[in-house]
Amino acid sequence: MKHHFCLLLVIVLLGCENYEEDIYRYSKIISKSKEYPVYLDMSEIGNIQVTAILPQVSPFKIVSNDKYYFVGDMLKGIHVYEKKAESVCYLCFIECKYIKDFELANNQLFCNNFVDLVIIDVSNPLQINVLNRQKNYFNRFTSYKDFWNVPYVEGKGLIVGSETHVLTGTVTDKKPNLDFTEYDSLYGNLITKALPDSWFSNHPENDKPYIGIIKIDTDQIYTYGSYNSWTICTFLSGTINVREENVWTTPRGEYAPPYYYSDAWPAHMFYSDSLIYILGNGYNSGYSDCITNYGPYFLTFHLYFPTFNPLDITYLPDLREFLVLSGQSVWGAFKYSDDQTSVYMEKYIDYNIPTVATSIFRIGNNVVTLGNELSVYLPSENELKLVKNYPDISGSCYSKAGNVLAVANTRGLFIYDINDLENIKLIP
Amino acid sequence: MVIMKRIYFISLSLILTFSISAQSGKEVNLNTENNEIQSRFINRKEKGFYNIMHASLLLGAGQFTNWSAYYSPYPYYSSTYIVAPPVYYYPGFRTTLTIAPSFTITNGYKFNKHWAAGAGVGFEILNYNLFPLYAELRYTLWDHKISPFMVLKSGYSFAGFKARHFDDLYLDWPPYYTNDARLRHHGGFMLHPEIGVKVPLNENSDLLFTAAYRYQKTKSVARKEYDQAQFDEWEHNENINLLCFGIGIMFR
Repeated sequence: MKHHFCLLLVIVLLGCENYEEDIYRYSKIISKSKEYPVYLDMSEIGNIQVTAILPQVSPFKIVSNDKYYFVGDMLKGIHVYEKKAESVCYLCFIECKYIKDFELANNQLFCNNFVDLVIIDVSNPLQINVLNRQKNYFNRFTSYKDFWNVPYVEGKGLIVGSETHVLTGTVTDKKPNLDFTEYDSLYGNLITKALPDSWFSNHPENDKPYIGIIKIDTDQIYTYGSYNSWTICTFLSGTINVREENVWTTPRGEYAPPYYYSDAWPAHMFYSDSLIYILGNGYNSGYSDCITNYGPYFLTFHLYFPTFNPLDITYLPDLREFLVLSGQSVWGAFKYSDDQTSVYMEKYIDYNIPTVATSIFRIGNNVVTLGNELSVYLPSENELKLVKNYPDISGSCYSKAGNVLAVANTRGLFIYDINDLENIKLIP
Repeated sequence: MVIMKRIYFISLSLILTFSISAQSGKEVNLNTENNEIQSRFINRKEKGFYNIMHASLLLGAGQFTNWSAYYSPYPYYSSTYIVAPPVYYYPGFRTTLTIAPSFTITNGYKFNKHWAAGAGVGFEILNYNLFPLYAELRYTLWDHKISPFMVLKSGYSFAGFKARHFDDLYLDWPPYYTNDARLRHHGGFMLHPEIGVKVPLNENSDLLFTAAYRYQKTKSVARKEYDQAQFDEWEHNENINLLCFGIGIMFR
C-alpha cells in the first residue's frame, strides 16, 4: 500500500509540469548604416563625337579599309587617317571613351564604349553616325564568371561606387528596425558621371570590362560570350542580330568557343591567318589559346607560360611553332605531331633574345618584332637569326596589308614599304 | 504598490482580530466518558465566526539552473607573461522536486452546519516569498463528528512589493545572468481547491488534515536601465502546478 502511494505521488508530481513563458522587451538607441549604390550616368561617357585632332597617347590597334586607317587609342577613342596616294594624313579623332577594342566591317566600326557595344557608321569619318548601341553588351558574364562583370542593375545602370549613410534612432521590441524610408528616398538614386580612377591600372587589358572584338568573314563580329561561348553580332540593313554560340550549339559553330579559366582572364584577342588568338593573364602566369577552324573537332591549342604574361603571338606553319613575346625575350612552342587528341605543346624553348618588343608577326619566312625598334629575324627550330635591326622604326601596334606596313606610335601613324625586309623604307 | 501593501496588512490585522475573537472564552470541562463528549459536540454552535491556522507543504516539479564553470585548458602565452585562462560559466538546467512550506490564517463565518465562507492571508516560500490573499468557500459534510470537507480558495498571491537592485543577477530564466539590474516579483492569481478530513477536538476546535491542488501564476521582471530612457527588460511568467498536504486547526 505504501509503495502504491509513493508511486501515485511520483506520477502526480511529474504531472505537475509548469508552464513558462519568457518575454524580452527593450528600448535602445542604435545607429545603423546602410550602403547606397552610386550609379553611372552614361550621358557623357556615351557621347560619341568627332573632335579636334588629339595626340596619340596609347595606340593599341590599327584597322583599315580602302580609304582610311583607324588607330585605336586606349580608353580615349579612334584616330582616323586618310589614305592619300602613297601616304596618309591625319583626318580626325572620334571620341569614344573607355574604348579597349574595335573592329571594322562594311564601313561600320564596332567598338566598346565602356561596357556598351556601339556601331558607328564611318563612311565619312568627319560626319559619323551612331547606328546602334547595345547596352551592357560586354558585361553579361554568367555562371562562375559573374565576378568579371561590373556590378549592374537593370534599369538603373552600372554601380560605380557606394555611399554609406548612418541613421540613429530608437528601436523597441515592437518596432525592432530603424525606418530608412526617408534615406531611401534621399539616397536611393545617386548617380555620377565619372568612373573611379581606381578601376583603371597601367595595364587596361587587365581591368574590367574584359573586351575582345574580332571580325570573322566579312561581317561577323565575335566577342566573349556569357560563359565559355561566343557572342556573335551582325549588323545588316540596319538590323542588329546577336546570337550565342557554344560547344552545344547546333549546327556547330565555325570556331571552338573560348574557355574561361578559373585563375586567369582574357586580356587580348585578335584574329590572324584564320586563327583566333586569346592571350590571357593570371596573377603570375599567362596563357595563349589558339583556336582553329579546321578538323572534325573543335581544336584549340593551349600554351601555358608559368612565369610571364604573353604580349603577342604568331604562328610559323613550316616549323609548326608558335612564337611568343614575353616582354623580355622570345619563346617558341612546338606542336610537331598531327595528333588532334592533344592540344598541348610538345616543346617550349626560350630563344634568349633580349627584347622589349610588344608585337610579333610573320612576313614570308621571316619574323618581325616591333617595339621600341623593329627587328627582322630568320627563324629556325633552334635559333632566331637576326637579319636586320631598324632602330628608327618603333610602335605599339601595326597593320600589314600586302607590302605596306602601318605602324602607330605616340608620334602618329607611319607607313613603310616592306617589299624588301632588309631595306624597309618609310613612305613619306 | 502602496495600496496592495495596505490591503495585505489590513487583511492580516482583520484576520488576526477575528482569530482572537473566534477563541471561546467558555471554560471547557472534558469528560472522559465517550457519550458525554459526543453529546457536547452535538451541541456545537452551527453559526458564527471561525478561524483556521494551517500549515502545509507545497510539492511540485521545479526547474533550476546550475552554473557550470568551464576552465580553458590552454593559458595564453605571450613573450613576457602567461595569462591565466578565463573561466566561463554556462547555465545548465535540471528539474527537481520542490517542497515549499506554506502558512495561512483564515477567518470566516459559518452560515450553517455545512457552509462557511471566509478570507485569509498566508506566507509561502517558493523560489521567493509569496503572500497569498484569498477568499474561501467551505462545505463540511457533518459538523459534529469526523467529517470530510471541501474548500475552494481563490485569490491573489503578492510577491515582493518593490524591485531590488542586484550588482550581479543570476536568474533561472533568460538571460540567466545580467548585472546592475533590478528584479521584481509580481506574484499572481491563485486557485486552491482542497479536500480534507476534519476531526473534532472539542466543542470549539477541530483538527484538519488536507490535500489540495494549487494553481499559481507568477510574474517576475528583470530590468536593466540605461541613459536616455533605454532599457532591457526580461519578463518571466510561470504557471505553477503544485500538490499541497497540510494540517490545520480550526477554532470556532
